Amino acid sequence: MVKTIIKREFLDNLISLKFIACVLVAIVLTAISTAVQARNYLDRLSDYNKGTALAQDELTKVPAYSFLGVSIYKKPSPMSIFVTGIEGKTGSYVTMTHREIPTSLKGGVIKNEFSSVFSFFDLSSIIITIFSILAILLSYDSISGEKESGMLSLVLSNSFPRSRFLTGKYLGGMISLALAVLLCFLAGSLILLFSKGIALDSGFFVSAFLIYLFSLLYLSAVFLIGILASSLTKSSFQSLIVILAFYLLAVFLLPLAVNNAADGLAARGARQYDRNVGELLKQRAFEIGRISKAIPIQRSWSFKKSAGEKVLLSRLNPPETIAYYESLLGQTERLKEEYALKIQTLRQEDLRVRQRIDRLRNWVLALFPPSCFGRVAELEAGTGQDDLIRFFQHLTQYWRQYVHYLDEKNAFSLRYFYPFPKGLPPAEEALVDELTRVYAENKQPWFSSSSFQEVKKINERYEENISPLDLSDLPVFTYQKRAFAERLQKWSLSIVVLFFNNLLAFALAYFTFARYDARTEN
Amino acid sequence: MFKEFLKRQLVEDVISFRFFIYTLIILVTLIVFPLIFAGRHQSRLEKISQNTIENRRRLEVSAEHLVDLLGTQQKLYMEPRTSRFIADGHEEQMPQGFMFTMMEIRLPAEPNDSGAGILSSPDLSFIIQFVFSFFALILTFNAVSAEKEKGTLRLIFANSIERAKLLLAKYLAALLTVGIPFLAGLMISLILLDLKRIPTLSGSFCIIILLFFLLSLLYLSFFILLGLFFSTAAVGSKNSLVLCLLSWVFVVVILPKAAGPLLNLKNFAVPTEKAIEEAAEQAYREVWDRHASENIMTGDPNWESTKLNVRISNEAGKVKQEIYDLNLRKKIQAVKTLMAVNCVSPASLYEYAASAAAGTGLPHFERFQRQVTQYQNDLLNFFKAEDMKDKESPHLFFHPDYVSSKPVDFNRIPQFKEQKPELLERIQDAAAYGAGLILYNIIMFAIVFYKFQTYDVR
Repeated sequence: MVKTIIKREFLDNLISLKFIACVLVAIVLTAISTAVQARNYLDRLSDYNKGTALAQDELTKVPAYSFLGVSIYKKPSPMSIFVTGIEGKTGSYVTMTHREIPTSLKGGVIKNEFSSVFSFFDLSSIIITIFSILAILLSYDSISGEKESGMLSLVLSNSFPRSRFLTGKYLGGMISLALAVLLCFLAGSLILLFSKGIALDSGFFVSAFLIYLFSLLYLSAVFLIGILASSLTKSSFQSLIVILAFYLLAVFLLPLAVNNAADGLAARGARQYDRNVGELLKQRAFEIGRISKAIPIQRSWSFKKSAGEKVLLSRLNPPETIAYYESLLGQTERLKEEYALKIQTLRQEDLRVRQRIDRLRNWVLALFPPSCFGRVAELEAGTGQDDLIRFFQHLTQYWRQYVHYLDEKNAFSLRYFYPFPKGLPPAEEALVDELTRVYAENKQPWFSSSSFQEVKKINERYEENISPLDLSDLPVFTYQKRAFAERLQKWSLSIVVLFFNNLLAFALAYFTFARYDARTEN
Repeated sequence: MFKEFLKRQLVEDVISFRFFIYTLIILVTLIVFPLIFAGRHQSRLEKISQNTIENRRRLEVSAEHLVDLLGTQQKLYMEPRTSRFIADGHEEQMPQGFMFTMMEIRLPAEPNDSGAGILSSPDLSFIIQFVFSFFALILTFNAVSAEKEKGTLRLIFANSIERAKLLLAKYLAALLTVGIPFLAGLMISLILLDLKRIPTLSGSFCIIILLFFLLSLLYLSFFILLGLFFSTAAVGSKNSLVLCLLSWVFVVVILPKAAGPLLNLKNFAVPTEKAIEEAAEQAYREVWDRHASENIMTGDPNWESTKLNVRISNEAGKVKQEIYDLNLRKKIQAVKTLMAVNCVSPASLYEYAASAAAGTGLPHFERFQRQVTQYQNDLLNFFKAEDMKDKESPHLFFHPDYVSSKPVDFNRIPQFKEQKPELLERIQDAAAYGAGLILYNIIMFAIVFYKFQTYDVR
C-alpha cells in the first residue's frame, strides 16, 4: 500500500504544472550556468598555466638574490563550475619574498572590477533558489490539500496507518525531487564532458555525487518542513504562506543579515590589525634608517639598477660602495625577515578572532538548511573561504622553508646584490678612481665625462655575461586539495546538523499528523 | 460604491493571515537592517577619516619642498554616504576610489577579498526588491479567483457594477496594504538610524526618501498587477500561485543576472589589471624609444636637449595615463551596457532607480572620478603658480630636477573633498528608470484591465 501511495504521488508530481515548469527552468539555467562557469574556469586555468610557466622561466633568470621572488599561482578547481564559492572573485597568485609573508592573492582574471553585480548562478545556487521552491510547492498541500479534496478521510478510512501515509507522501515527493536534481546534474556533467579543455577526474565525479546527495538531504529538509507546515495549518494556503515566508527568510534575508553582521564585526578587528601592522612597518622603517645612518658611505656614486626593494649593482663600482651595500643589506634584509615574522604573529591573532566570528556565523547559518547546504557544498568543492585560509597556511609553511633556503645559501651577502667576483683588474680600478675624482670635483654634469661613458660601456658588456643563480634546489611549493577524509571531517558536523533538521521536521510532522483532524469542514 | 469596495477589500486584506506574517517579517527586517548598517557605516566612516588624516600628513611632509608634491601619493576614496542605507548600488564590490598622484590616477591594486562572500548589502531597496514584491504577489494571487471560487464575484456583478471600479478598488487596496507597513517600517528604521547617530532627518534626505518611496510604490504596483493578472488568467488559485511564484523567481532572481553571461562577449573584454599596467609601461617606453636617436641628455636647464627630454617625459606620462583612462572607460561602458540590457527586468530597473536616487553605485563613482580629475587640474595649476613665484626655478614642468624645491604653505595646497551631488541631478538620473517602471505598470494595467473585462465569472 505504501508503494501505491509512492507511485501515485510520484506520477501526480511528474505531470503537474509546477514540476514541469520548475524542472524546465532549472535545466535551462543549469545548462547556461555550466557553460558560463566552465568558460570562467578555463580562463582561470589558462591564467594558472601561463603564470606558472612564466614563473618557472623567471626563476632561471634571477641575477641576484634581491631579484628573487617566487610567483605562486593557486590552481583553480573544476568543481568551481558547480560551486563557485569565492574562486574567481579573488586574485590568483602571490609573490613570495623573504620580506613578507603573503596575506592576499594578487592579479586574477576578474577583468572588470565593476561587474561583480553580474556574477552568474552556479548549480548550488540554482538548487537553493529554484529547487527549494519546487520542494515547497510539492509539499505544502500534501496533507491539507488531500484533506481539502476529501481524499485524506477516504484513505484513512481504510484503517491505513497514518505513519505509512506520511512515509509514502515523503518518499514519493523525494523521488520526484531526486529525479529532477539528477537531471540537472546530468545536464551539467554532460556539457562539461563535451566541452574542450576540461579534464575531469574521478575525484570530480565523487565530489559531484556527494554534492548531489547533500542537495537531496537539503531538499528533504525543506520538503519535511513543508509537510510539517501542511499538517499544522488548517488550509493549504495558510501553510504555503508560512512556508514561503520561511523560504524568504532562510534563503535571502538571513544569510544577508548574518554575513553582513559578521563582516562588520570582522572589519572592526581588521582595522586594529591594519593599525598594528602600520605601526610595525613604521618601526621597521625607523630601524632601517638607524642602521643605514650607522654605516658611513665613502664614495656616494654607484651604478645600480633598483626597482622597489630590488638592488643590482653593476660590475664597475667602487669597492667601498660594494662593502657598504654588503654590510647594510646584510642587516636590513635580516631585519625585514624578522618583521615579516612579527607581522605574521599579529596576523595569526587577527585570524583567530576572525575564525571565532566565522565559527559563530557558520553555526547560526547551519541552523537554516539553505545556508547549511551552501557551506557543505563549498567545503566539499574546496572553493570557499575555508580553503583559501588553508592555502595561506601552507604558504606560511613554505615561507619558512624558503627563508631557511636563503639562509643556507648565505643569500644576504655579496650575492644579494652583486653577481660578479669581488675585486677589479687594475685598469678598471683606475677608471673607477678617475670617475670618483671627477665626481668629487663636481664638474657638472659629471656623467658627461669621458670616464663615465667608458665605465658605462664596460658595465654593459659585463651585464651580458651575468650568470643567473642556480635555483634548482629551491624548495617547491605544492598545494593539494584536501584529501577525502579531511573534507569529511570538515563537513561532517554540518551534515549532522542538516540531518538533525530532517529528523526534527519528520518527528514533528509525524506527531502533528497523528493528531490531525482529517475531516473536511463542509 | 467604489469607496465601499475599497473599504471592504482593505479590511479583508489587513485582517488576513498573510498580512500578519509578512508584516511581522518586514518589521523585524526593518529593525535588524538599520542596526547592521549602522555598524558597518561607522566603521567605513572611521576608515575614511583615517585615510584623510594620512593624506593630509603626506601633503604636509611634501610641503617642505614644492617638488615633492609631484610624487605625493594619496588614496582618494569615495565618501560612504548615509543614503547607502536606501540603496547600496553594489558600492561595496566596486573599486572604492583611486590611487592618486599629480601625474597619475589609477584604480587601486589592492585585492578586495574581504567582501567576496557578500553579494548584497542590508539596504532598503533589497527589502523592497525581494520581500515586498513577494508580499505583493502573495496578497493578490487569488484576489479575483478566490472571489470566483467563493461565488461572491457573481453576486457583485449581479448588481450591475462596473468591472473597472472593482478592479481599481482591489488594486488600490493592495497598494495601500503593502504601502502602509512599508511606510511604518521606513519610519522605524530611519528613527533607529538617527538613534545610532547617523543623521537622517535633513531636508534633502527627506526628499530622497520620498522619491525612493514613490519609486518603490511603482515597483510594487507592478507586482500587484502581476498578481491580479495571474489571478484572472490562471485556472484556479493554485495554478495562479504557482505561476506567480515562478514569475517572481524569474523577474526578481533570474532576470537581473541574465546579462551576466554577456560579459564574456568580445565587445566587453578588457585586459586584467596586470596586463593594463604592462600595456601602459609599454606605451611609456615606446614614446621614449621613438626619440632614441635624438639627443635627450639632461643637464643645464637651458639646453635644448634637456627641454626635449622634459617634453618627451611629459608626453610619455600622458600616454600612460591615457591607457589607464581608456580601460577604465571601457569597463564602465561595458557595465552600463549590461545594465541597459538588464532593464528588461523591473527588478533591475527598480534597483538602478533606487541607487540613482540615493546617489550611490556606478553614478556615484563616475561623479567621483570627474571630481578627482578636477582636483588633479587644480593641483597642477597650483603647482605651476607656486613654481612661478620661485625666481630660481627653471620652470621646466614637470621634471623633478627643474622645478622649485622651496617650501610651500601647507594650508594653501588644495585638498580633495568630495562634493555632494545636486539633488536635481539625482532626481534626473532616477527619472529615466522611473519612467521605465511607469511604462511597465501601464502595460501591465492595460493587460489586466482587458483580461478582467472579459473574465468569465461563472
